[in-house]
Amino acid sequence: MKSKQIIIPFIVSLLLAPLASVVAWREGGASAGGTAVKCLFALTVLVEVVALAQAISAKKLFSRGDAGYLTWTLIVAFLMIRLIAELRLITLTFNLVHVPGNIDMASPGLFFYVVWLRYLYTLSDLLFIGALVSAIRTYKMTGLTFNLEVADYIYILLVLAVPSLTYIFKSNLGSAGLITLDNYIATYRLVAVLFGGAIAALCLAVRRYASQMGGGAVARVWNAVVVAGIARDASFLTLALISRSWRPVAEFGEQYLLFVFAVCWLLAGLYQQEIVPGARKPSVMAHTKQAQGSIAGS
Amino acid sequence: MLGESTAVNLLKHYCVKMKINVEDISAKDLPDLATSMKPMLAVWLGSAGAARVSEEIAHMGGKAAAK
Repeated sequence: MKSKQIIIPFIVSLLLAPLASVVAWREGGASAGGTAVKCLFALTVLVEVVALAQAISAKKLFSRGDAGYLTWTLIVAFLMIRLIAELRLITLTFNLVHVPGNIDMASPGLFFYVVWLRYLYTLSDLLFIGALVSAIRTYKMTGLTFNLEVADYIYILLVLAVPSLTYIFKSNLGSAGLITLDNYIATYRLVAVLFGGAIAALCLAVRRYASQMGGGAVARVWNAVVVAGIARDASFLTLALISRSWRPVAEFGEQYLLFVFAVCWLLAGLYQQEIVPGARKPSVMAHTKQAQGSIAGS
Repeated sequence: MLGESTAVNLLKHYCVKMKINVEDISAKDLPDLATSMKPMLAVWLGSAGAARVSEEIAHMGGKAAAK
């Protein structure tokens, strides 16, 4: 799979998804609109599966001793745990697991499944934060000058205002989403937006370092990761800001941004593999070793 | 691959390390430069990718020197 094969379908889907949602709403009302959001969610999970596979391939480019090994190990762990969390959400969204109207009346096992297992997303966010910190460390350990500018600190402050804004509008947090099974979801979303804020702030630092590279394939990888991180944070803000007044728009907006998040991770995995084409191919490695031997011998 | 600014910085960094002037770099220095850059390239590209790129740089230097 090549990144070029993804870009055009991605752009087309970015245009088609809102259009499909509007048509569904006009033709079939709230129920059809909800189905459109669920379809987008299913598509997002599918993209996340492929993104995980590509991240695993990207991780294989690094040996255990390489600085990038830790970063990509954390990315793989993050995507894997997130995917497990998504599979749980699929069972709830498509009613594969029967949940009573009042979650407090559910068995302890079901309560744990519905309320507590959603914190798998938080765990995955922690791993994402770890990956970003590791990436920043990687940039720093090259010994080249990568520094934040005043504007970056202002952007970081603005991004860190998102959790505060979400807290102000916290009453909106439980009123929309793919599933609204319980009242505990608002607490989870507040926790999630806090982690999302930290992710977005770190993404801004990575973005500055990537832009200081003056283009290039490595910067492209990290720019895709930055867009993914910001899209995730923005999805919570969308829910918090507009779910009371425009619930359908908020639900679609959240899923749309998560779709962007998933595709950006897919692109990041592909871009990393495309930096040095065929770096893992045995024939190329053999050729490299042979060439190194001849240089050393001459 | 690493971006123009990074490539320039990388070159300057290694010229300082190898105690040579950037302007004095010739094609025959490229193999040595490529070998010393390998650890830093590995940070972003992985060891295998860095070995390959370094080998390509050295090869380029070898070809240019031969001309």
